[in-house]
Amino acid sequence: MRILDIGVATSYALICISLVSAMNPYPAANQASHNAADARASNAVFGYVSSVGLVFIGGAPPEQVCASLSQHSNATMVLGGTLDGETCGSPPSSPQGEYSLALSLSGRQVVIQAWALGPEQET
Amino acid sequence: MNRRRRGRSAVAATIASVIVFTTMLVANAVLFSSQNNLLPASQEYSAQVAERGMAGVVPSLAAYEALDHVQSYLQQNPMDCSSGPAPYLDRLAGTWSASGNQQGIEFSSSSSWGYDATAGRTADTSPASPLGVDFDGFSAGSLNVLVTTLLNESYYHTGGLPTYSAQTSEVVHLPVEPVLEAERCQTALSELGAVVATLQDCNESSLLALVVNATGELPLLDGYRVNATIDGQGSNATSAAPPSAPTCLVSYSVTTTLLGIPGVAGTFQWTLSGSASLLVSVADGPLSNPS
Repeated sequence: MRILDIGVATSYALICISLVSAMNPYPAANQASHNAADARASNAVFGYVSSVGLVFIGGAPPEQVCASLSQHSNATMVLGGTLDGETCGSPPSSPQGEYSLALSLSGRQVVIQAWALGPEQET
Repeated sequence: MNRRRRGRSAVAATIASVIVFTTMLVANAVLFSSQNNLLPASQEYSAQVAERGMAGVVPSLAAYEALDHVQSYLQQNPMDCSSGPAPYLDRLAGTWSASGNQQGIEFSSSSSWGYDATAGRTADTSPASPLGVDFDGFSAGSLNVLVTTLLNESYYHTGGLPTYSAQTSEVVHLPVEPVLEAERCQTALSELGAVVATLQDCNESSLLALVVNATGELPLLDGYRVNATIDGQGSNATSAAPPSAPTCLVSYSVTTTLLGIPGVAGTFQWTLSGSASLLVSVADGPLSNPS
């Protein structure tokens, strides 16, 4: 009887532990956090474009645009991009979210990127 | 007795462990369910934010393309001010379309633009993503362009939802005054015509001297390259008295080029020219033809 009792209890415990392992809420929580960070990054990209204007992005020398991207970066968001093959700004390691916008302006190929930092990565 | 007590303890321990594990399982299930409910909401929020941002950029891109097209047209096609600016400005109209996938957002956009001659505008809605202070909005007298854009967006990953559609109209401009410049050109042409009408001798040297003198004395003509040539000479047979007044057919033109005009794709230049011809009654008769 005791053995049966122990066996039933142990089996039930193992089933519960298996179900808890299978229904792990953290991947969904992480993905939701990632989606929110992507939204912040897209806001940063469109906010940058709105701030400096398309004419500046399409006509200014690449080094000026790079400097502008750097100036618009902050502790929680890193801005960078590619202008006619020239890259400026480097992505942080393991950003929490990111967004990039590709534009073609008077023949200039531009990609504006933003990387959102997680709380543990904020500078 | 002890065996019965141990038995009851074992059952109690089993019941307690079942309760503990069941509680743990239920708590985890609730947390799992809530996070999974949050996930699609966060995904939809992220898509909505991106779609809203695109909705600000795409119309501005259309406006940029419109001004780029207009700038190229002005640079490559001089305006003939003899016939007024309207036909020329009507040819500035154009269309542009774009489609693609921007990080999961599928979009399609079509836009059209044309010269906006609306007078009396005092304010205009600013575009969400401006081109720059030199080009945004309506500017009285400038080359204003009305850009209408239709945009459709959908989020690729969730069966097309959320979707976003919008039609926007905005006015942008190039800092050049086509109507004023055309009027100046026409005035210069008229002034040159008035000068040509005073021609006394139907020969090139007299005409040249007349034009050179006028260029120095008339400030407006000083900003133009002028040209005048004698196309022919004869007599005005319709004149009653004197019966055969000598005449001289003169073709003349004015041309000016505006340099360093700010454009969306760098500075550009724009040329205006006007031409006309005039049958002038001259004092002396036509030169005798040696042949």
